[in-house]
Amino acid sequence: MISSQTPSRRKKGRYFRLVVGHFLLAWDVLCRLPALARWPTRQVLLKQLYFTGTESMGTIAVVGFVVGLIVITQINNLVGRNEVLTIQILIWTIVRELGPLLTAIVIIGRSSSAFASELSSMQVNGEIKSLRSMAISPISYLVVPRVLAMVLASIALTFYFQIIAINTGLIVTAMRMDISLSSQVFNFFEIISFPEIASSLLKSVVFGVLVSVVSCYHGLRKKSAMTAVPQAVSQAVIRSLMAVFVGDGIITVLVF
Amino acid sequence: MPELFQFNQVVIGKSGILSFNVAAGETRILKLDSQDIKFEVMNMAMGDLCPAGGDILLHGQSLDASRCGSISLIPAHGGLISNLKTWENITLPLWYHNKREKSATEESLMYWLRALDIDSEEWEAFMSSPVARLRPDEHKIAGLLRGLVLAPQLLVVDAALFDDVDAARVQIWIGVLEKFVREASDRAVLVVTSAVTSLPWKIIE
Repeated sequence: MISSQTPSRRKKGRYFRLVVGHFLLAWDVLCRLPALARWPTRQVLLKQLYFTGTESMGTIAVVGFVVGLIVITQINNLVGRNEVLTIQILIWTIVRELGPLLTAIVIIGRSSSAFASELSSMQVNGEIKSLRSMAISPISYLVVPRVLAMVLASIALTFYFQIIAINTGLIVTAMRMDISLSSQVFNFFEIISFPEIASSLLKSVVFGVLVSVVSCYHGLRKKSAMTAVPQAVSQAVIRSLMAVFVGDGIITVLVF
Repeated sequence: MPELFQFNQVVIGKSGILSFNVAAGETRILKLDSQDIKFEVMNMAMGDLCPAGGDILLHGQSLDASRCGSISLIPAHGGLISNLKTWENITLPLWYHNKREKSATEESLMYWLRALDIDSEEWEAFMSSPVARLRPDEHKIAGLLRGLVLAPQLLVVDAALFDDVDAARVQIWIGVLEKFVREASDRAVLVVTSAVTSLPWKIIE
């Protein structure tokens, strides 16, 4: 029988199911948070915190340093020796925008692809089914600790990125413009406001949830062959990036 | 002997009907027509698949969430989780469901390792090894150990577990499964196959 639906309608239906699938997974994760009381789930959480958080620190430090250097060079060229304006722009770019966004991109590059490929391989090798046969929910045992680990790592790494980038900016300004470092630090704490810190925290939490849910969703989707694993990985990475940029746009418009 | 596990007029495949009983203290082989039906029946026995018709009963009651721990499956290749070590794989269901103290688990594991005639010097390397480094026969041993340590009332074994294993080891495994059944009054083993088998137990056809 030939389907009466047009290709565009079928595509819309598939897209709708995809979006609903992500929301259902996120809701399932929220409902299963008490699974963290179980020791094996906490063990997975610790492993994932190490992988997503601790092992990313080197990359984040390099990216933070380079971004701090680039941003402050442009600001110094633009505003010269205007200390207050320099710090203001540094906060706008690093704290409000680049900190959460670039941290999320590093996390996507490292962990989103790893989550999707690991879960996809487990799916193809029948390990997810094996967990079910032991009455262990794959969502509780695999997804809940990954989502929580990514959210916690995202918050910590964003903060770490901002410290490195801002310190780089302040030190470079002190050296190039001959402005005292202590006066810059004092002005920084005078200028930075609670909404800026709160929005940065909100973004890092939202990005952590988005990236982990999208990656786990694509990892756990039904697959019958190993050839589906790279497809799942690339979809997880591309859709995580899209989700982060859309989420960033929405939060920025709503908050500022 | 009291009936432990029953398939009553269960619809399998496209139109087949399957009925059989396994009593406590028994080890039986269930021979089915094809691999697909074998997996379907194993999934039904584990409660992962609902039959289109008929009843599956454990102690005369329908399978539901309360079956957790009462029925265990030993898949052909062990069914191990690749990112865990062998020790973590074997103890995962026990610790996840908070069923037993660590010391009791270790004791039970030592007991079955001895029964499986595994050299004590090999234990440590075997237990601490990541699954990816295990040989295919070690995958099978780990899966068998997990089933035994869980101590379920019904142990469902995929008969392909015995494929490509040397004859001496097969004899040891047969002895261990019989020992497992003898050790408690409410235990049984159901070996499911879709091929001709030389395993020594009575066949349900």
